[in-house]
Amino acid sequence: MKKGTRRVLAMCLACLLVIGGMFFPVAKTAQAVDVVNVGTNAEFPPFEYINDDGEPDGFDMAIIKAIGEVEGFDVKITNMEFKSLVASLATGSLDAVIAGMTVTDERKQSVDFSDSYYTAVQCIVIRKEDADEITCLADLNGKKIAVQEGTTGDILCTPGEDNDVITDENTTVQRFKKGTDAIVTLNNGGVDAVVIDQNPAENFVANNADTLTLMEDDTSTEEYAIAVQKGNTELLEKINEGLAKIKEDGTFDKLVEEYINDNATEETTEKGFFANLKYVFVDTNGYQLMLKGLGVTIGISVCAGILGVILGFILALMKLTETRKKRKTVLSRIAGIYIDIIRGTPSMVQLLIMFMVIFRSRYAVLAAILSFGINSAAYVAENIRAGILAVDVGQMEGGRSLGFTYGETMRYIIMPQAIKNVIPALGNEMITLVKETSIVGYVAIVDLTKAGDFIVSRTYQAFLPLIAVAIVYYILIKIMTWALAVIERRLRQSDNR
Amino acid sequence: MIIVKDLKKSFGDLQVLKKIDCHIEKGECVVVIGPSGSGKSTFLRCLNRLEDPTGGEIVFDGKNIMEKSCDINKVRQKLSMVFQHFNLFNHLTVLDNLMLAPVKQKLMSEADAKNKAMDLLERVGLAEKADNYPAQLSGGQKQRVAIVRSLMMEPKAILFDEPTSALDPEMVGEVLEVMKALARDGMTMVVVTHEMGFAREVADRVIFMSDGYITEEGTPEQIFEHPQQERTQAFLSAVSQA
Repeated sequence: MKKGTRRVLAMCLACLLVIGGMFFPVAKTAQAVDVVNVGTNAEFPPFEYINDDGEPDGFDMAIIKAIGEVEGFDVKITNMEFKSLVASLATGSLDAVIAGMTVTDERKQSVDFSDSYYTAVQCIVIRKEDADEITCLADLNGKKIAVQEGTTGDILCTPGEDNDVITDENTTVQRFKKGTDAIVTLNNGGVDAVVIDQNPAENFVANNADTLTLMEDDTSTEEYAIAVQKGNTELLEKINEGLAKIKEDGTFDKLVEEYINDNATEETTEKGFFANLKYVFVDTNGYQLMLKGLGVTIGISVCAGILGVILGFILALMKLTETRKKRKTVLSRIAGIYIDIIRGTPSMVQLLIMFMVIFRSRYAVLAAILSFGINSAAYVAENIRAGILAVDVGQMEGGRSLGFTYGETMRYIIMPQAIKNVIPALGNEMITLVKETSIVGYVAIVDLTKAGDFIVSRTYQAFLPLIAVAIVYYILIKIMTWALAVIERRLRQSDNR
Repeated sequence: MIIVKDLKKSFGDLQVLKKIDCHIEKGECVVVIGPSGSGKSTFLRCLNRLEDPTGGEIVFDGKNIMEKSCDINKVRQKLSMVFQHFNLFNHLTVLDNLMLAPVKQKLMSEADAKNKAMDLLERVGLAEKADNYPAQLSGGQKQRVAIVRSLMMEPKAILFDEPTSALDPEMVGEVLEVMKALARDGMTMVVVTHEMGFAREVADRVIFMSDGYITEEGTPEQIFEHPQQERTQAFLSAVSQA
């Protein structure tokens, strides 16, 4: 009788070890000298954006790669939220950041900056019809302003003690993750102005020449520089040296010409619906991006689902020791605490902790799979436990009275019946899981949702890409629902009278 | 076959079995009667340790089953139980219900188990139900299958826990017939029941329990015709009025 218990225990332990073990190899490995991890936020054209192949590209990327070439190091680009960049430098998961980042005293306290490679001016982007009304930054007092979160535009527009231009407390500042979202909102009439760096602003206005216009705000000029971890003078010197070299040999000017001055944008002519459809999904390779994203969504969901079910099953058995012994056990307590914590915190926060704290901003996909698997397991465990408890106690007694051990009775008699009870709830949980993975964009994974997002920023159109993404999710869930119904019908065979 | 000494069982503060001593001989059919709450079912469930006794000694087939070294699962293979609510495995067909334990516990080959199952089903008149699921059977049919399931283990004794209490009246007879046949064949049986007719006709010995004790025992004639104890008399007259 004890043999079965011990086997289950050993299984639980083994699984915990395996899962635990997955965290550790991730702890920072020795830094190879010739690869420099560079972080950026590819939402800031023309300095950084996602190109048609889905890779980060732009002036900044070209600059850092050119520096790497002359200084003899390889560059590995990681795309993440702008807000996370400085923190990732501090934890050491990034070696350098190039993201159109302005040198400020505040940032200087956390990071060291290289020599400046670009001088930028802030611009105010407005709708054409407002051009008479808004002529300088001070005119924005009391208006609705959109900015990119954490940028200089954000600082300039947010009322506060240090701000002597925007003084009206009623000024509304909407902070977007991406400049393009701010522009789309301006186009939709949701805000009166967007305050953003000059080059992206020019880019945006060129793409929306019918509706938008811009003016420079000459009160603010700022320097872009490359940031490194505080105290990393070795890398800083290399970067400064490399920057000087490429300025000298003409590479720098060539890149300025290629990326910044040559803003050859397509004509923004009115397109018919089908022409527009083709433009959004085919001409800009949107469909490829979405297919790739769909693959990522499915991959993460399937792996996390499997992990969640296995882990959840183990947790359920741990919790059930309580029912069997009629008192709390060590195992049931551990499972209880696990479920309590996971259910008590948002999956978004769990994902960020897993990625940034435990994985130190590396292996995003693995972090996402683990995070969602661990999250899902808590819900699955309760589903399975309820399913097992719903099986009549007489079934256990019937099995035990025939000489089966507890474990054998579970396996041959209880589980096959419990599965029938569990499948609907389990299916529900899997459907939730698929949809929840749509937040992985936050850890720089391009899933289906993020792919749609990219198409929005590339085409300045929200409707088609987002509807398309919604439809793809819907079809995916529909297929799952159908498969579940088939499984359920099979399992219900013994209920037929 | 079964020797019970000083058996005690409490649920928390509630002492259900206070002191039970009895011997059950090989081939004997013992019927346990008594008012509800007297501990009949608990007594029966202690015999195969579905309830763990609080104290005392139970010897089955020469082995003290209360000892730690005793593998209770091995004991239960030879000491079957039939339940009030049948406890058939709902996800398995009748045939699979019968074959599961002997085959999985490697007591029989699959072919032997199937032959034996079909033989026994034939004997209780349910051969054509072999491929049905329990949900498709009537209560009487379910209980007959449950009895066959316990017989599949080739037990040395069978415990019956109110086997007809959950049945519609017209189905009681078919189950009792099967039990009578078993008793005639010399199976050792301990039966908790309210079927006084069955006790009278089939039992070798009747045990009357009340308040956690065995207060009277004897042949059916002694108990039903000449009960000595007041409690027994009161119980029997209450039952006969029903």
